[in-house]
Amino acid sequence: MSISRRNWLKLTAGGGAGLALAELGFSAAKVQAATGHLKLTGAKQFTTACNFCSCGCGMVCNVVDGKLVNLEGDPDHVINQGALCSKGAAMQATHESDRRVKAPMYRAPGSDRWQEISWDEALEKLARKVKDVRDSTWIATEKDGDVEYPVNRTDAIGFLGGAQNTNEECYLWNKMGRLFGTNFVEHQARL
Amino acid sequence: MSNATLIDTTKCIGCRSCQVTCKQWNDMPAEQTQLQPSAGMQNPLTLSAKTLCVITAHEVDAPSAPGGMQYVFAKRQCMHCDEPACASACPVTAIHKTKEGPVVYDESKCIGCRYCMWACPWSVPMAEWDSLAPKIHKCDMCHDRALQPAPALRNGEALTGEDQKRFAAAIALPACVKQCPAGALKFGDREELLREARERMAASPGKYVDHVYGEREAGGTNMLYLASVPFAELGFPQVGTDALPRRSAVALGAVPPAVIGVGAALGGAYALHKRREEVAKVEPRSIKKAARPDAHDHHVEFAPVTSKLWTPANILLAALMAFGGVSFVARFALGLGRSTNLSDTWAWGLWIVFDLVWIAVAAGAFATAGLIYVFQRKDLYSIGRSAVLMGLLSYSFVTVTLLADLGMPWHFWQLALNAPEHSAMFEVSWCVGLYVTVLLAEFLPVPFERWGMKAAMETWKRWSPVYVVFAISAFVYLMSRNLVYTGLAAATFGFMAWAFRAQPGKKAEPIMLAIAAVTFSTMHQSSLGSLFLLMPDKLAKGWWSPVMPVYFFLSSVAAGVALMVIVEMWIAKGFKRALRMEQLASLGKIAFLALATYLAFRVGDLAVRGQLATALTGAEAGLLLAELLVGGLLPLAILGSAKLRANPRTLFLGSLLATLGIVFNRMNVVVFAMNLKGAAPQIAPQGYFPSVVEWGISIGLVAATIFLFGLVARHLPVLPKQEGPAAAEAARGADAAA
Amino acid sequence: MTNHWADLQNAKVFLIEGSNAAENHVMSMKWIRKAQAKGAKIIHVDPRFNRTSSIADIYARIRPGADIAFLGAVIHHVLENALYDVEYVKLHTNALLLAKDEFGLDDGVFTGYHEDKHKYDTASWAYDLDAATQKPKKAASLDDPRCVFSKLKRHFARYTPEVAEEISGVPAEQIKLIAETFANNRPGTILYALGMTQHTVGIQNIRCYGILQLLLGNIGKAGGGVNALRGEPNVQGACDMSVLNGYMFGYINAPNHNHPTLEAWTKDNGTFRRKFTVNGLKAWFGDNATAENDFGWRWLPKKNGAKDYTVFGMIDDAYAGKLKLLWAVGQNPMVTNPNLNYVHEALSKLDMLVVQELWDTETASFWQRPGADPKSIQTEVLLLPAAYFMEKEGTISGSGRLVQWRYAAVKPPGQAKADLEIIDTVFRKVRGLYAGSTDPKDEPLTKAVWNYPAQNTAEAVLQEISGRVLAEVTLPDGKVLQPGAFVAGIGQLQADGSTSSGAWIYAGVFGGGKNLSKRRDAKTDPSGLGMFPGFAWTWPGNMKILYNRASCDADGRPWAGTTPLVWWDATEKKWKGVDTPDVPDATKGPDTPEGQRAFRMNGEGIGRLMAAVYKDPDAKEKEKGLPRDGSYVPKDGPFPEFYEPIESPVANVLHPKAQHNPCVKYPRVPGKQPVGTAKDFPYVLMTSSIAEHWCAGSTTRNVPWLNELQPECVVELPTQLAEKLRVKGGDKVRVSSARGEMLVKAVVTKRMQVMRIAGQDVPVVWMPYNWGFKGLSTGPSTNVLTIDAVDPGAGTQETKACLVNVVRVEEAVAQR
Repeated sequence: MSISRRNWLKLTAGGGAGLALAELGFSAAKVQAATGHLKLTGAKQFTTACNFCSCGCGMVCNVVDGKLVNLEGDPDHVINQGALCSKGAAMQATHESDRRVKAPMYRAPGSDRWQEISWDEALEKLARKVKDVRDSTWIATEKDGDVEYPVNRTDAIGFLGGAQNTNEECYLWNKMGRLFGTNFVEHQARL
Repeated sequence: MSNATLIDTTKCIGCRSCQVTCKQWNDMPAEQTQLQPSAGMQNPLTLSAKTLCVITAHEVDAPSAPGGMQYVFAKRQCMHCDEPACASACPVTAIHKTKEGPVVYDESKCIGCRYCMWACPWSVPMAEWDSLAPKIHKCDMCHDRALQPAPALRNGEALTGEDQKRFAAAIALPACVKQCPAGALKFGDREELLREARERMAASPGKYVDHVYGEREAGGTNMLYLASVPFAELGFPQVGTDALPRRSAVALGAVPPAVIGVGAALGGAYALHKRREEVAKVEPRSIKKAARPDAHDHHVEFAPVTSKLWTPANILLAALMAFGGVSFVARFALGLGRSTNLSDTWAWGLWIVFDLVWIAVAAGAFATAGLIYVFQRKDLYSIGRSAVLMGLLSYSFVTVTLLADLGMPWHFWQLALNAPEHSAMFEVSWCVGLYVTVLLAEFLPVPFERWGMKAAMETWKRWSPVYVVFAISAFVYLMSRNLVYTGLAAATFGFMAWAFRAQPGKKAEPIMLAIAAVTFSTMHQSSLGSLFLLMPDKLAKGWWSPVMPVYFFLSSVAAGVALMVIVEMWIAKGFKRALRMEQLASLGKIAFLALATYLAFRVGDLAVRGQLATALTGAEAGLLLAELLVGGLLPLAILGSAKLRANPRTLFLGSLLATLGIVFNRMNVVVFAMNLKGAAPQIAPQGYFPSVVEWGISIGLVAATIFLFGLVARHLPVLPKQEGPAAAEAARGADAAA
Repeated sequence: MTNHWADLQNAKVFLIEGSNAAENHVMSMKWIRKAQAKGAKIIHVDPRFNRTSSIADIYARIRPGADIAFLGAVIHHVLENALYDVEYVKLHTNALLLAKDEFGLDDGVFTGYHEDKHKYDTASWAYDLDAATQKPKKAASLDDPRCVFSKLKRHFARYTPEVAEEISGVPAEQIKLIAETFANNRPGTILYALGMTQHTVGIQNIRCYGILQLLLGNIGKAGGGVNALRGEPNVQGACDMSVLNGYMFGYINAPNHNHPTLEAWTKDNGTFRRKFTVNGLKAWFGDNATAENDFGWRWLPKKNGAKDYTVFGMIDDAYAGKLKLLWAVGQNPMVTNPNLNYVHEALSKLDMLVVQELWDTETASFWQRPGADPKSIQTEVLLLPAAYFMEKEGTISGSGRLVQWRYAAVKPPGQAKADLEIIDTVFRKVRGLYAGSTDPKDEPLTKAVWNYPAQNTAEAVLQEISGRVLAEVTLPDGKVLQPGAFVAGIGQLQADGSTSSGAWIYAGVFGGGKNLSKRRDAKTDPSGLGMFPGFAWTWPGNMKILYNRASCDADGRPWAGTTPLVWWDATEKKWKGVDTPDVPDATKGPDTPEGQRAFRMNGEGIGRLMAAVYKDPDAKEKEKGLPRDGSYVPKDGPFPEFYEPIESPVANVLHPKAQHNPCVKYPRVPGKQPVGTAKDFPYVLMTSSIAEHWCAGSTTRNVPWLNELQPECVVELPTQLAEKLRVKGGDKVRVSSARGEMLVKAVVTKRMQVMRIAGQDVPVVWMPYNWGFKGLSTGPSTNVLTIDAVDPGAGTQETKACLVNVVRVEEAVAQR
């Protein structure tokens, strides 16, 4: 049967009401457009770049009322031209994940659990620790053979990480580390 | 001109971005998966309601390839057939093919019948088994992306019109295509992509196998594949090149004219028999058949049976009904997925088997009505009421089972709003529904008579033919959406209603209801066969045939009549009544003729299609032989003998075997001969055994049918009036003598 | 990358070795596929047939750790069959320079070795200098036996394809085919990643690439280059910003204890780099840095020259109780470091651990590690919630050096804050604690410039990185720069403190007061080569292809038959091109020495087939004994030499006396760093990441979609080995090394093979390393097995090759 019944129905007389009904039925896309929710309606776009490997694929965040409704490859990007790998494509899930750490947590010596603390308390603890360690482990000078050199450092503070940070964060991270006096400033360069 | 995607598996690197992107754009949850030693890195194993796109990985030996192997990846999703079986199957057009290419789904219409899951040759549509309102899911080619508004603001700055256009065009691509890093997917006009596919094949001789999968498969799809190894090695099924909807379109296209034709023929037969009767009255000896004791039986009187209700058997039935009731509640409280063992492989199970079986064996109602009124077999008049009651109860409970089986039965009204092109499910739904009303109308005189409702009886007499004309016309309209057909149907049945109108002073015959009953039954009994026409790739060749509708109809007549014999014998036993052996033997003979016709047709069909040898030697040969020999030829031999027909034991045995043969046929069609491969890609078919709830509802409803029959027979004049113990004794004696 | 991602489309052949680009740098495929469509060939060399292999034209299965043997044979074949680019080699490499006669190699050890220190005295690895000019003498032809080229030939003469086959398992015929395919299709590019660097010979592996590409004339050309596919989103930028113990201000060597003054440091590092150091010091200390106070030199911490300041040094020091406070930002060493059981012990000895993260990670919760007793761990731990990339703004630099701005699209969840804000706050707090201090030790804190605005902090920092004019500057062309202006590029940086730049290589990213990293012109590509000069900004100076001067001949004309990138315009007296010309001065033509320095960061200004010790004497302050510039010399040899991994199943075929890299000291901490032998651990394990999970998996294992794709850690076993072990796919096996053991499911595949090495069967197994005990998908960490022996120069761990045993779990239980 090469003529579908719908065509047959169009070819023959009558069926007006049915035809109208049928046409409505077969254009669900239009119905959806008119009544359904399209997730990018009213979205503001922000561009960013992926945070996995170093390809630097461009991404577009579509934000509606402060909510990330869609994140996908930036079609206007010179590296990925709209494409993303499986990891990049999954990144929308990280923003609203209930597994994110949402408040500073503290684990006391010997404790078997985390406790939530305030930012102030956390950073106060950290700053005091930096000062204590720095002051108690300061190496002003060091002897090599017969020569005593001024070295002005501590070897007791380690800074680790940066490959997941922005350049600006890395820059301040390194600057802060060296100003504290440590040379243990390292990141994932070898991973 | 329609949009398609060209999937070049030689370019795919198996990064599975498409798989994640599909979930991301469509807000689909992840599945809990495990390492799959059999499927390599593939995960999940198959498509599901949560996974509309999956990449399969194949380590194919290839001694001449680098490393001695090819590592091939294939994206699997809906094929978006040019003529999709799923859309054709859908009774409410919840799935439909758009002219742009995508086959899309509208959950607001879906009733959850899951026929699409069975119909799809790739087993792509999948149900939300864990939902209380299990919708169907499948790739829709991201058709909503084309509708998204163009972005206006980027990084706080207004975009130019040109930029907006460019970005809108990118969003309009299916998400998988847009995010593919390897250029393995290309979206565009189908014809152009086919041309490009051929160009790629020509440009790299030896790289590709000479086959664009999807170009012709199932009549052509909007997903086109290129590969470097035979598609069978990538697990792509061979589905033939025919557009599957065409299989059922022929059968279903015949329904509207068939309604008119069958109705007219029945009217003609009635008129002929009436004419004979008139003639016989004048010249009794001129017609041989008049020798039948018609007159005697025609004046049967019916009366309620007096019998204790709470017999042990009825208590058992009540308990089973309670079990059914609890199961029914559980079905809706837990949801379809949690209450049944149905799965993406077994989208249909016990309930559908029960429905098919039940409808087949309940054919006794229409067969009896047809025989008594159309063919004026007044000798069978006395079983008319029980047959109708049996039919009414059976069909009502079939409907209840369907309600349980439907994922979203509360959308049932969508059946009235949509006009599917050639959905057997749509036909069956309407036809069964209208037939139930006809059965009800046929049965109404019984309560009217019981409670002396004369006015109601008069109204019934006047309006039931009118209702028939309306119901038939409405049915023809729904099936055809064609006013010519509808007019023809209305005219034909209107004329008959006028011609066969009740004559003043004469006892009215419900001939229009009988004609409607036979017509509707012919349509839906055959259309139940049409349901399976979409599955030539799944149903074994011994069962699948383009003439399945015919053999479903023929077999239902045999089964229905044979079951009436059994039912009558059970009634006699249950109510300790005399066996009316003459009448039963006569039914047995009709069963014999029906069975013979069916078997001849069935075997003839197998022979004509050249499937006889295969069917009798293939994997399912045992099933077929059991069905045709034990359930076919053996009862045929028994019922074919007048002597054996006259013996209650052998008549019972013959009828039972005939019934079981056809019951077995329906079970084979749905379960045993149905080669379900599971969701695509077909590497993890799930097993099936009905759950307690499934058994509960089915058994409970069978129990309810039997119990209610007994209950009604006790309160309404359904069975012929007993002529006193002596007469019964005499009858028994006569039986014994025979 | 010397080149950049989109440039891959211009290559005619790819040598991908030590990288599974299709899985770990998926987007490279976008461009590789384009090249492939134009007929480019792909050669993939890897121990494991993976998704990259699936698209290769030639796949060579190599034993983990045998790359130098294989590449040595490729170089050998190129040299013996004269497949190299003679003109390029003569012009742009040190092939013709004479090397010292006393330099040599004996039994796998170069001259100058001190066995007790595991160190070389590199004095003999030098050029034969002209006494008057202090410049290297030059041979007339490549046949001169004293020249570098001859020494190179001699060095690689031992690396015949047959010897390489014995060591690497790659058939000799295939090695020749690869050499010819790669040499005869130019330009050819090389892609590598950690597969090449995570060895105790990591640097020398890459040196092979440099030598091969210089020989073939593939450096500086579109479609050529040596391209490191870096592993993390801003690993390039973090290196650029000197988050590396040995660097300051952008690959400027950090001072050692013996550099008490800037001049002492300049003696070792040259005046060329001193200029940038001064700009860096001005960025950090502003007006407090003056010529008089050596630009605040004393405020920089001086390293102990003998001490290891890498992450391994940190772990060793923590274990020794010397490191008290460890602050990790977005890094999860309790998954990614090798020899994890030791790392755990080390962390347990810290006073305080601070972890700034999106998730609770294995490092933050190390005290909850299965088997650990929290009561016995006295470390205080702070877990600070960080914002993720879409929740904050700033720039990152990908492998192609493209510096891109990211906009903040949404607010961080809960109380999470951008790392920038946390760092800024902590610094201010610490400085507050030192307010009023007069102790000289506290001067770095009190003298530093640190007053970034609360709004647009990132952009303010980027301005400091890019650089400012601090005092009026008159440029050579007469142009005057006013104080307060932003420098437009490296060329405007001054040596006298009148300009500042926090990282000189980024000078100009804020050129003209505009944030060039925000540019998004993805439509304009005048060259058609995929450079898109108006899209974001590439360091240095928006240059896309480094060393592009080498794409020209001695006269500054593009080599015949190549795609023109840059050229000398004789009429305008200027270097011009479709890319920023990589020349010291665009106005100095081929007739000047500057116009011939295609490799201007080297002392000698040319590509180095031999990494010789050399300092360019052409400094203005020659009389003070200050060199202009020096060159980097690998610690373990001027030529790459094949050594077996620390744990190897076979003896070194080339020189049994030097089994391993002589510069590697392992174990460093006796008792904590056991070395296994083939007797107990007969199989070679290589580890890597996978397409679906990334690094420690801290993020990816918390994304359900990705866990769906790859739900658990596995070990891939060759079919032959699995049969021998009676292991079926899906069976649990115990994998053990001298350092630890774990239970995982086995995947049995023909993608892995038992290799034939030096006459014996060597089964190779593979495991991903991305799992740990935290997150949505948990599992044992593969790094309990791996070895923390490291490359002596780069400090990369040898996670690509160690020895393990594999036993079926039932048998493992029975053995106990």
